[in-house]
Amino acid sequence: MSSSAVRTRGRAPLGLTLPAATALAFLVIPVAAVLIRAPWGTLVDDLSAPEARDALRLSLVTTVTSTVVCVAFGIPLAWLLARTSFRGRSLVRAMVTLPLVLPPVVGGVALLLAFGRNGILGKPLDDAFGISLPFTTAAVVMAQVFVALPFLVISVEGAFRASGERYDEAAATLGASRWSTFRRVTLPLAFPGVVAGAVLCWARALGEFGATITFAGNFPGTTRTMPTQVYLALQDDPDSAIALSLVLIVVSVVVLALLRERWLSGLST
Amino acid sequence: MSLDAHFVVRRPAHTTTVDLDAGPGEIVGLIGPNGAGKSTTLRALAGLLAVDSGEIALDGRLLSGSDVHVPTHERGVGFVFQDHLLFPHLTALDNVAFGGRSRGTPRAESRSRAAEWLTRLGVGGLANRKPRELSGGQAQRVAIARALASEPRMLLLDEPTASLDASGAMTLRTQLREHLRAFAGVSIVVTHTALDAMVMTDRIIVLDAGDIVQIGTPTQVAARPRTQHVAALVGLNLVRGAARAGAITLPSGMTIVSSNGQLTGPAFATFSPATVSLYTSRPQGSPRNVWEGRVTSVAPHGDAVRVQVESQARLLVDITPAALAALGLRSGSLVWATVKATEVTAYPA
Repeated sequence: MSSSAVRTRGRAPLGLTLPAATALAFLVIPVAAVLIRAPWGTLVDDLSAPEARDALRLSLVTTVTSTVVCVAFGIPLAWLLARTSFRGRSLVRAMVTLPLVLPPVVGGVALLLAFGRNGILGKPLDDAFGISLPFTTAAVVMAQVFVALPFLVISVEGAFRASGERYDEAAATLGASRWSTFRRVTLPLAFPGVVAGAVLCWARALGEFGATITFAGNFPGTTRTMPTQVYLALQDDPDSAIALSLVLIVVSVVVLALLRERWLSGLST
Repeated sequence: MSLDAHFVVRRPAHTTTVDLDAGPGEIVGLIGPNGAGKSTTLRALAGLLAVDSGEIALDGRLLSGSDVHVPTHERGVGFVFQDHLLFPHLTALDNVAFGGRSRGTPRAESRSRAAEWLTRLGVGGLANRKPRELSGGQAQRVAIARALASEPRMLLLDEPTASLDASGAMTLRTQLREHLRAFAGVSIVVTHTALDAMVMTDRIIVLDAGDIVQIGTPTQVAARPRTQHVAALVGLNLVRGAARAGAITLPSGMTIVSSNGQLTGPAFATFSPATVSLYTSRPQGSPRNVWEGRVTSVAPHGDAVRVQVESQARLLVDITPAALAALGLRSGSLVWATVKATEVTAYPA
């Protein structure tokens, strides 16, 4: 609150500032604790230990892959939701948003029932081609896509809606087909939203734990991503767990800063 | 290059019925108040709206019909939007080259043609600017260049001068007229301003509440308006009533004597605000048209003062500032308004 507001409307009441301060402290103290207890002296060693390194590498590879998959398939879905009208569109949107509120472990169970050895798609896949997805690196990517895709679709759909349909109409009057309009007008105008969506999507994939451990398991080097490694290391090598947590915190802060920058520059153009 | 359009578009709020033929090179003005169906008409012609019945044919090719809807991008119909809608991520040049690229013209050729069009519209020096670096008038010129460069068979313009200030609008208006004259296809201009319609068009179609209420040359429409909207645009008083031997009786009971002594039946009467005189006491002598009323507003209007008088009809009166001072008029003043019968034009409704 600015000082002039204090002067004109009086001080904020204690009944509000006290709970507000408590809430803020509750959010800040745990993160501060990680920073305080971080093994700063051995940080490099902790992170370059084979298990930590494997987890870092696997997380990087899988999250980049799942983000690419989300962008490739999520943008068309966002376009359909923003630019076409069809029966049951609100149902489609509800299904897209469901993984946002679904407990990730339930997502993992659902993926097993669909793509597991005896899953409704997994069994025919196994029978016909001998392809088994669960407990592979591919399963890690699938789990990440399942939880992260909604972030991309929702922010890109928002960007498509915000840039408006009128530029699309202008493009049509200039002879551009819908595909050409999408490529040359709709997508470039929504680009900041696509970047924001991709960053959010990647951040969510990086933190994915519940669906991954349920559907992909916990095999070092193939399915043990950073969050899983943190959880396991906490038992016998807490320093390594804290070091990895620190990496995830830094990544989150960077993502937040990037999005803020993106958001601000998006407003100024 | 001729347009044959007769169609109906039904919207929850209103239904628009249009019957419109236009020949090659003809410039048609669409005027009418908000909600009259002007934009609906343009959007239907451009294929941005589907028609509910009727047909739209351009050069004999059916664009809209009962089972036909040629999509906008295949119609060859150029559109200049009121707020220009230049693509913000492209330079002026690439905006103008957009249409050529859409039709598969090679990039270099599209761009060199775009540069020519920018030069023709007098904005050749702004080719590398982004739309946000252009003034309203510059942006609208680029938008006109963009529409013309796509070589449309018909050009639709939605209030092309509306977003500009008065002098900017006047310059663009005269320039636009030249380009529309040079354009071989049909042009349809939606406008809110009488000047646009008078300066640019060959023929005016007046829309009111979704229907065409008048078609004529700008001169005809301006001299004999049939809607309050057009009368206000061209600055005339307009009343409607029943004529008997040139005297027109309004539903309110007011009678107005016109110069047309033969006229009988439903009729309009118009007279200019400048031909009305005001008095603060009942005038002596023999004016035929004398009405008592109250002043409801007084406002500057060019060099004159426009006084609105609420009588049995609403009258617009233009007087000089000196007369205003002499009469001491203000809102609520009791006045008598007179107009000579020779100043009143009456015509069948």
